[in-house]
Amino acid sequence: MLSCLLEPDSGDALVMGHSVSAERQLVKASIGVVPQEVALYGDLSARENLLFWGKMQDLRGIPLARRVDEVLEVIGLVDRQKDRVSTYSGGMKRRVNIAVALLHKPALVIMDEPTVGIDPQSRRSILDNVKQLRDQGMTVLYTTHYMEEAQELSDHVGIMDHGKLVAVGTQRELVASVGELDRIQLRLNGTAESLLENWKTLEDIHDVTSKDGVVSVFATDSNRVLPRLFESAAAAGVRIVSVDVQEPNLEAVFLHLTGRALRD
Amino acid sequence: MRAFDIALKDIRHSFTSLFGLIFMFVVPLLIVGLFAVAFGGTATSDDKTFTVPTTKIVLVNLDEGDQAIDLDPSDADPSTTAGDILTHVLSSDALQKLVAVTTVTSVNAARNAVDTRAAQVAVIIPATFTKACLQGAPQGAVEIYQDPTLTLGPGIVRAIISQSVDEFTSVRIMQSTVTMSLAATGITLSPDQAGQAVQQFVSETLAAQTNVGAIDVEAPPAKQQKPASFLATILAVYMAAMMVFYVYYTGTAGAESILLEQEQGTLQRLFTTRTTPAVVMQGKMLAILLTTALQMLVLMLVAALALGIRWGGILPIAIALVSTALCASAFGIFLMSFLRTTRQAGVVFGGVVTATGMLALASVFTMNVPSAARLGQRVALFVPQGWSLLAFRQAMDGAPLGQLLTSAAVLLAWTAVMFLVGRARMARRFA
Repeated sequence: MLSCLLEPDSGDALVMGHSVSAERQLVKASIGVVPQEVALYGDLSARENLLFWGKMQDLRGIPLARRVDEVLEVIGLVDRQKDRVSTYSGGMKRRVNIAVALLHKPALVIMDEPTVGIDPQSRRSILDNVKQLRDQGMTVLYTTHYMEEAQELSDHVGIMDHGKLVAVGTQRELVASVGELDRIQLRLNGTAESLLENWKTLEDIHDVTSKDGVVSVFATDSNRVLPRLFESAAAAGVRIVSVDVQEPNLEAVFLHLTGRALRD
Repeated sequence: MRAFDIALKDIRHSFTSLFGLIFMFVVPLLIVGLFAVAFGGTATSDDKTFTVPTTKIVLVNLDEGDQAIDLDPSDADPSTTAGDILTHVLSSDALQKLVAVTTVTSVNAARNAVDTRAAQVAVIIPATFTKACLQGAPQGAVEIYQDPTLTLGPGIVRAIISQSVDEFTSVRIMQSTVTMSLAATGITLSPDQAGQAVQQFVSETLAAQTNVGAIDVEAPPAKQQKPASFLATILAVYMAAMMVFYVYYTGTAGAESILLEQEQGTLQRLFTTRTTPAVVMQGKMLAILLTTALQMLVLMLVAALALGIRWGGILPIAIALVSTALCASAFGIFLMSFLRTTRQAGVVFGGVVTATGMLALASVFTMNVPSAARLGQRVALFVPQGWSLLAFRQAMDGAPLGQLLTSAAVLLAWTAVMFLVGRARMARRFA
């Protein structure tokens, strides 16, 4: 709907201030869409593809040629620009697929799982490109099943399940909203049962366990708790040998929100 | 402008597809080329006349004549028979290029010559041939024994004999008519006077045959400044038929690109740009229109150069070409609007396009069968291909412009209906 492929049955959405129902052409001018499947003409070269799609966005002549040169530079395909797209690897095709959406410098780029089924180098290149776009001030609406990608790229994350938006916010807000805790793992130079009991009484600490010489502390915010852990250990004459902090990730949040049942 | 860009992209795709090029150009030319070979070779610029191969005849003349009458007193033979006259006609210089006559004395020798393929036709004139002629019933008296695999040579021989026999019959009719007319006025002819009248009539007829020739074989009168060969005239009809048949294939294949792009995802991507579905449809239509027009132009040019086919005046042929290109494009859009996948398109190619194309060709297949020709023409006009073929034949035959414009108007009506239906269905799908 946001890419204007479907009309809403009811209601409306504004993209860069334009209604997707009443101002479709203005919305289309503001967005660049990167579909999940590569949507290019295999019998045309990368350059020819970019020229064609640029014309579909009303770019012409020298400005179009210059812009094509720029995006080819960005996706790193200057050397292969005259080869037919059908001869490209999956990763190269996906890079061209993204480049098409950038030609008219849209304010919003909608990317639908752009890294599915490609090699690690191409994936890294695409992720770097997305960060580059973000840093240039472009808004990127990035759809993915890879939580580490969302975690690496996103300022705001929305989690959808069965077609409904079940949560949206910054990563920290999402973690907080589902009550997931930071896990602090410590090694001590000796055993001190009284110290562990003391830690359990500290503010923001939910639980303390010990197993195989490793003490696990579950806390709301590790940054606030850690100084107090060191203080109380020093007071008890116990030395903390090592510290490992594991903050809850998006995958944990996602599973918490959507459950562990398999999806079709 | 964006429609033009889409059209250019599609045209490029069509003309860089080997499969497409073969179907657009090679197959129709190949089929008509085979027709050309079947009809006896291509008509080059050095060979613009229709030639019929000489038929070898063995003739046995057993006619015993009628002792009372010498049918040709002008010669030295005192008892010229109808068989002699027929032999003379077949051996005359006028028919030298059509038939080569060898005379034998027995029926068996004549039949044997045909059986051993030493000759193509045996003409056996029976002993009672003259009497049969004088009695006014010579038809069927002469036996023609032929190689059953041949049609043209024996047909010519049969026509020559039939013409001669008809003239013998006319003698009898002339004699009866004159005798009755004179009798009505009270004048009675003696047998000698009647015989003289017959002799004079036969002599004059014989002289006329010798001077003019029994059969005049020539190419049909051409309407153009430079006459086209007879072969090229036949091939032109087949070429036009094949061209129309395959142009509608091209129109459908061109429209199939809509389904193909839908499956590749490029169509949906086009709709996310500033290009509206209406512009996409215009681009597709333009691409098919230009592709089919270019296909016809190339086919007509190659056929004219290689086969000597003449397509008629520029204006009539342009009317036929443009109206056909429009109709073929709309035909493709119309058909594709009912389909969802390119796999379904295979069924359409095999079924609808071929079936409607064959209906149109009915007018060509039946053109030499008088009893079926009218039906064939009517059936062909149930499909747009039939009207396209009619328009091309009218253009080639130099038909009045009004007739051609009528055909073009019908094609444009087909175009309008099919395009509007196709566009409405597509718009509903991609809205």
